[in-house]
Amino acid sequence: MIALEASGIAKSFVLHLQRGVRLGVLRDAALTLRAGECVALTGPSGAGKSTLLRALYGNYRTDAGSIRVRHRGAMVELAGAPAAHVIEIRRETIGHVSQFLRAMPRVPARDIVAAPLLERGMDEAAARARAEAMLDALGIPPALHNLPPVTFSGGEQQRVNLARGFAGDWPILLLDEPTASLDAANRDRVIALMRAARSRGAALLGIFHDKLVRDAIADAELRLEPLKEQA
Amino acid sequence: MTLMAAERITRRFGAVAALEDVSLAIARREIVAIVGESGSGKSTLLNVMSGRLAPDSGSVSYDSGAGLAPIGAGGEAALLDLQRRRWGFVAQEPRLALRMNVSAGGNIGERLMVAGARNYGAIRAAASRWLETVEIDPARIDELPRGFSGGMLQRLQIAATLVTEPELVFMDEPTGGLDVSVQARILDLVRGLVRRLGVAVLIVTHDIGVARLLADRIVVMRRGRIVETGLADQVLDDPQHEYTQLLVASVLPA
Repeated sequence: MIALEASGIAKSFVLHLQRGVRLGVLRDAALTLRAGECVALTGPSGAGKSTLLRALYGNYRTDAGSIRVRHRGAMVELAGAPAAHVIEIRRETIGHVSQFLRAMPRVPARDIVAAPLLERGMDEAAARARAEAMLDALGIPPALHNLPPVTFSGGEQQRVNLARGFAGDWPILLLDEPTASLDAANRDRVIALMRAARSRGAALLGIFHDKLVRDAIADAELRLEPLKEQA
Repeated sequence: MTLMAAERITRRFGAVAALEDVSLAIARREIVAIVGESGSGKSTLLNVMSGRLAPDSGSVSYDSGAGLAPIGAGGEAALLDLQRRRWGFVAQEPRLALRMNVSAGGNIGERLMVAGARNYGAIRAAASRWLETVEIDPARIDELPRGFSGGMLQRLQIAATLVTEPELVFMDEPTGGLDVSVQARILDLVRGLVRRLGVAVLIVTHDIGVARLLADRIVVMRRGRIVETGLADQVLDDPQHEYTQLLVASVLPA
């Protein structure tokens, strides 16, 4: 079953503050992602891997192309969709784990993890319990659950970020270097979470620089190459 | 589902066009931030949409349950009724919005009474509950707000605004004059409350960090016009317009 299907994706950035120079990053990018499958985005730095992930999440606007995702049982177009629709698709269907946690002042780790569950309408007690369990699964000690992660180490912040990303059981997960700042034990925890997500039928698309992680979780690769200089 | 729609609003102050042909719709439960520098027209737009300022041309419509209808159509009384029962307004300066010679509880209770509440015990209980919600000790219910800090005053204004559970709240730089630590506390509070109550919010801010934290959607204004609009993270992470790029690039990294 196809979970996400993108074709003809083009993305360039026009930098008005640099005399309007246009940077072409993606041209005619395409991919198909099926439920239960994990695809690794590979290619050299600057090939547009993160840009493609962000475009698929609706975070970057595309210049051309179609991004269709299975949402509420039907394939719907994400590219150019109205804000409210993108928000709904993100709430229910597409999860995104960025490289860095955007820590909010005053908000404890547990609430950061629980937030997407609450937005989906889960009751507060259940969302908190689920958040605590995810933080436990990622080795964040209970003493830290009630603290804002602003003061946590980079690795701890990333694990809070991952707890949030895996808590929601999204059918599609976009992962940008999920194991980048983790030690071996935590890397293995994340691999286990990714496997669990796959076995419940989630479709995963990720950037994994660590070959060990890629070999452990991905069953296909999509290689991107930097675009040649454009006029 | 559109809750409010401003269409082709133009408003001049003398020779200056504060708003030129501006259209903006807000959905039920949606949080929309208007960002832009001083003089961009963002506060004028807020004032026009909240019925505090008449536009020179264009219309503002609101759906009170029977479809969109112009907010001025029923006359002054109908507009006042919208403002009292269905909307809230949080001003930057709480001292001008609150009554400083009326107790904290009185400031909250007054809004309820204006909206029709009459039972004294129930009003006082609601005021006490709301003080607690905005993290002000309910034991201070009978104190005059004079002795409150700026952050407490702003939280009191938020309580006095949300107590009637409005459908739409207008906010004009609600954390404008506050210390950064106090700002974070208020933003976190506002974020939790509006989600819980399901109110729609139109907030004006020059602080794009505030917009990112609170808003579903961002509208960027410059010289009386909307230059860019979109999902909050889209506008901030992938700004298209030259002015938005400048705005995003001008923020000091935290």
